[in-house]
Amino acid sequence: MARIAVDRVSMAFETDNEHRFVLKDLSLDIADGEFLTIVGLSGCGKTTLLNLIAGLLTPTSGAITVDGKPVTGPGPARAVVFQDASLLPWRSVLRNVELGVEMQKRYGKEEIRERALAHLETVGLPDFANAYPHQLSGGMRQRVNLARALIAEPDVLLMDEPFAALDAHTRESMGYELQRIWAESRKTVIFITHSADEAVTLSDRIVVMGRPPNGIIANLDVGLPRPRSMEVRGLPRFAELSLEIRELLSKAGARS
Amino acid sequence: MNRRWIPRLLGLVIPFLAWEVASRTGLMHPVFLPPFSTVLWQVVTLPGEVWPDFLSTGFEIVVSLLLTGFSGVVIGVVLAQSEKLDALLGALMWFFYAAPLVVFTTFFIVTLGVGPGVPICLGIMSGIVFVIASTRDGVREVGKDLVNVGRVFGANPLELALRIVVPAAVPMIMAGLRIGVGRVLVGVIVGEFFASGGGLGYLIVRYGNELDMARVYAAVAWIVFTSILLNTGFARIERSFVTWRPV
Amino acid sequence: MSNKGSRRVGRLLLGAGGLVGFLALWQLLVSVGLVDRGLIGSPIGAYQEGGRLFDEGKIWADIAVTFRTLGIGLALSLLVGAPLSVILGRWRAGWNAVELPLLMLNATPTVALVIPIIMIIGIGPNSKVALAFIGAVIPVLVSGRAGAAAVPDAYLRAARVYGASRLDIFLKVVLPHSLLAVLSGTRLGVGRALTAVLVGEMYATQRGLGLWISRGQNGMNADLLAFITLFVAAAGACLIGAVNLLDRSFAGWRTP
Ligand SMILES: Nc1ncnc2c1ncn2[C@@H]1O[C@H](COP(=O)(O)OP(=O)(O)OP(=O)(O)O)[C@@H](O)[C@H]1O
Ligand SMILES: [Mg+2]
Repeated sequence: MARIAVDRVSMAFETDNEHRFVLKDLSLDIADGEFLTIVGLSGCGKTTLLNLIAGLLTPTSGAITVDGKPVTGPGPARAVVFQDASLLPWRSVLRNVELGVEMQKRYGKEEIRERALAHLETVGLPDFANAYPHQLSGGMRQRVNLARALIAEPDVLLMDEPFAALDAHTRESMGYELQRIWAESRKTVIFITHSADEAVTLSDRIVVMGRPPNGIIANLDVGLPRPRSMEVRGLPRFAELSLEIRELLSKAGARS
Repeated sequence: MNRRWIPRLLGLVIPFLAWEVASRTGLMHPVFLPPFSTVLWQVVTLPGEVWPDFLSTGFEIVVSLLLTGFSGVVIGVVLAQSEKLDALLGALMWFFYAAPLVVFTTFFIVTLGVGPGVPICLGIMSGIVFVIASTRDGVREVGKDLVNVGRVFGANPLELALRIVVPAAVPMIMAGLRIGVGRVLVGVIVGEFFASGGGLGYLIVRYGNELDMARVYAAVAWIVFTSILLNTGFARIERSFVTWRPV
Repeated sequence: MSNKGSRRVGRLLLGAGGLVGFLALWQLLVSVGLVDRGLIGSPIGAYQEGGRLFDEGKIWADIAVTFRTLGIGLALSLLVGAPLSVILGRWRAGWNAVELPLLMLNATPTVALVIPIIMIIGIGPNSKVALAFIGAVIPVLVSGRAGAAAVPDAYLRAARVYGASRLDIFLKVVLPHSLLAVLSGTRLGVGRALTAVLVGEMYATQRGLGLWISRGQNGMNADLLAFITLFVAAAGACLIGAVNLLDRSFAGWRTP
């Protein structure tokens, strides 16, 4: 069964008294436990689509269902890893992670604390529990951002360019870490990136979006063996896919 | 350093010396302007003599500040939710901000009777506008991202306000309180002045009627100390809240 | 552009609606009997009392007294405060000498000075003029001094390079700069002066609007008290509003 079904969704924004469609009749199915990546030019509607799935936006028309149930609003079952870490600056790292679960009233105070510590361990920051966000590097903040989403025990992880602000090296190693975490938990992941290489390294499937409101212009199965490590970049299939994505994007950019 | 302290010292010493001399020589009538040294002694002894009045002024200030802060933040958060509501109440709020506060004194005396209620209400009334306006602006400025964080992780509207929006607006709220605190004090003193139950403002009136001017000046001095203390205190608290601001 | 203008008009209309709504609610509460009319009066009753008061003409003299007192006090405070603030802005040692006493006075609620001033100057109109003067001159000095001190050095240097004399520099650079700051000090000062005059009149006088306010305590009917309260509040608000508008119209050429 498709875990997430986006069914002929359209989204328009009001600007200066006119309706401008960003998405038009877009359909997309995502399988349970699938790692799906969306790539596309800036402004093509990736974030909009992600926010629709998260329930932060309501579509102008069409419907989104998760396990057959329509999405009516945001909730921790679809945790978002935000583009800029969006940590609460007045809370310590530990308390920021706790935020992910504390409002669900699922666990007691102590249990929440233990879990938060465990998740900090998972993302490799056990020593920074009492630090404040402004004392962390960009990469560390993104790890906290990820831990906050993981602690919510979501069925779906929605990740909007989570590594965009990081340097190339940190970015790559965070990617492998994410892959490890995903392999352990088998959550459904929707991941947005501008990097073709990152998309190929991480995903089961890649969706390429064209100029708005064209929506999805290509649907690529990656089919590379897992677990993937740095060596995967040397495989011919990797180069082939990466090139194909780049070509699609540049064609979409030129066709204006 | 030294250069600056000399004029500063002179600036303090000369007026007080002139005061002392004017009073001692009879240039100013010593009943209306008692010598500075006499006043200084009264400043020291006053708290021991009338400590209940110090307590009641302190109590009124604290209650007034707490209520100003609490209701100002609540109203500010509510107004931030809707442009329309803000516009609807904007003129009314502006009216109460711009109107001279004292005109409401008699109204409060008639409705509340003499007692601590009048100074407390006047204090709230004169300070609250600043807290409301600055909370409203602070809440409007809270990033959409932080609000979305709350929504995604399951905050209901109350939790969203208490855990995300209000803490994020705290620096602005504190700025509003810092401006409001001086006005709260003025409101409290005006209230005590006319609703003669007790407190420093009341002491001024009472000693004034008894022509005990040394004590009048001592009470004024204590009001000035309180004002300076509140202002610097709030400026300091405000700064301590701002430390986590840069991220 | 026109969109913005119409939004402004909309806001103003809503604001007026809020004021009317406030009075209507008050009237309603009194009419229904939820609030005791004998205690707080009613808007309609206040309107009738006000009409009678103006017909009889007794209040005009008191309005004139209060505003004349205020006017004289403000004029004096500008006459003294404006030049003095310029001097203090450019004369370091002078400012150092008066800084602490001035800041102490600035922290003093003007109400606290009402009795000392009346005792020293006497119960007549002069003491109220003095109160208005003190209320206004301190913010004028504090703000005007800061303005004069803040004339950018670059201006002064540029002026000197072009061979301006000291007098020229003073008249053409320092003075305009400080006058704007004086004006914004006046904005604060008007409010303080008005409060000081009213308190002075409430405490000890035979005339003025303050007298009308304090009369309310001794056997004035609630409608009349409501009228006086609203009328004086409105008069004060109009005055402050006018000064604000003046300040804003000058603010246009504040930044060079
Ligand atoms: N709240 C909004 N109001 C009006 N227009 C919006 C709004 N949000 C997004 N848009 C418009 O919708 C389009 C798609 O935006 P979106 O943020 O989804 O792009 P994106 O694909 O995520 O781009 P990027 O890669 O730069 O993040 C843009 O043209 C944007 O201007
Ligand atoms: Mg985006």
